[in-house]
Amino acid sequence: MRYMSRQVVAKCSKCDNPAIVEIRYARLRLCKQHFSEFVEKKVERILRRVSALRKDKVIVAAVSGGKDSSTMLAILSKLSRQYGFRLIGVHIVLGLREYSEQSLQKVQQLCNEYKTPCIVVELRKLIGFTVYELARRARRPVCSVCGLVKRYILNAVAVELGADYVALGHNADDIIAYSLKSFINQDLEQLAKFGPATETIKGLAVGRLRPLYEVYEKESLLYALVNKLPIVLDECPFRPEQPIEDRIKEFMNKLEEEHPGIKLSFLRRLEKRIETYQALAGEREYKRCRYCGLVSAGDICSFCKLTKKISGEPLGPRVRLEIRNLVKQVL
Amino acid sequence: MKKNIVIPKINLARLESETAWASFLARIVVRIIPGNVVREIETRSGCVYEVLKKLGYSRESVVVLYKGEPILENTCLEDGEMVEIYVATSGG
Repeated sequence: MRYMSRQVVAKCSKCDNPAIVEIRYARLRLCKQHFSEFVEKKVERILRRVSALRKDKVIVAAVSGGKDSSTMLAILSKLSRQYGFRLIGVHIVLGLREYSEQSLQKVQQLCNEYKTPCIVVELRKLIGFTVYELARRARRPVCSVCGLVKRYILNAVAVELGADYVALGHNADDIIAYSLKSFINQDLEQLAKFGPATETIKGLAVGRLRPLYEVYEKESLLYALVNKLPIVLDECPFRPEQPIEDRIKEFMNKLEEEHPGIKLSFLRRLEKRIETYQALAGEREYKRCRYCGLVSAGDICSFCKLTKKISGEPLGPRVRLEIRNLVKQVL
Repeated sequence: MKKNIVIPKINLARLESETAWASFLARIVVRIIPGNVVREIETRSGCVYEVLKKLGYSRESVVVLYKGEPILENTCLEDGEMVEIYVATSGG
């Protein structure tokens, strides 16, 4: 073992503690504490950029129990104490048996640890179906129905709370993968949605906030592990075998290895160009759903359309009523 | 493993050449999460980076834990030691 004699102790670039991670694009080696601060600063900068660090703001954080949303909630909770904005967690129990049970348990543990109120919405209690049952009856892929249901419920909760933002746990790698996928499909109007925050349409739809916009997926996982956050490590049982997003991530990670910082610069350039893509998308006309009164592209929103198709009646109004009651319990 | 986390100054090009490290062989036990798959990887250096290369992971997509603590990818391990590899790109 010749090379052992040439070993050197790897210290943190900011203190004398041993380094646990090398941030190549920033030319830093960081210990646990300084790494956590590094990630927290990134989130703080994003929130400052979209003017969310204000006392009068209300942020609803969507927490699934996975590494990204848990990291996001932990950091937002710290920032909320520092800057005074109101933070409320929302978890949706989708009815995926053990996976959902485990997720709920972790989310409750996390919210208790970080003293954040959490609204738990159980899909089966709300509409009488799990996400799998909905998908089967609608003859649509589970992921597509799951996304639709989650978006609807999160928006309904945020509207009811009068929130300014719905914070999502999308990390830098996710946003790059979504935007490159949109580019591959030449769905350029979609790119307008991939900024750190989207606009609120008053009373109809609450804007989305992506606090982990510049946090790499690896950093998000490492933050969760270093800070011993309760997270679900298993994959969703309905996750596709090889989604195109995973292939894009693999490709981008190889590029990042050869050219440290390329992912970050891609995101920053994308953010600068958002207005160009918004212009490309043109002015969209938003309507109010005839049944539930929330945002819709047409006369009836996708959620009411889906539930009407499978159960004979649009369940949006019922969901909104139930959510109003849940929100009252938290406020 | 040494008491401290260490970075050997490895020339990666040299590491990859068959002649440079052919005389040394370290078997590293790896547990991959999620999935809990346990594998034994033969390396020439015992370096975590070499383990990742053999498994086909980019170091940008994983977090490596040794005895429950994160370590740098260029840490070298002794023959028979175990690491846990958390794959970041798999989602919920």
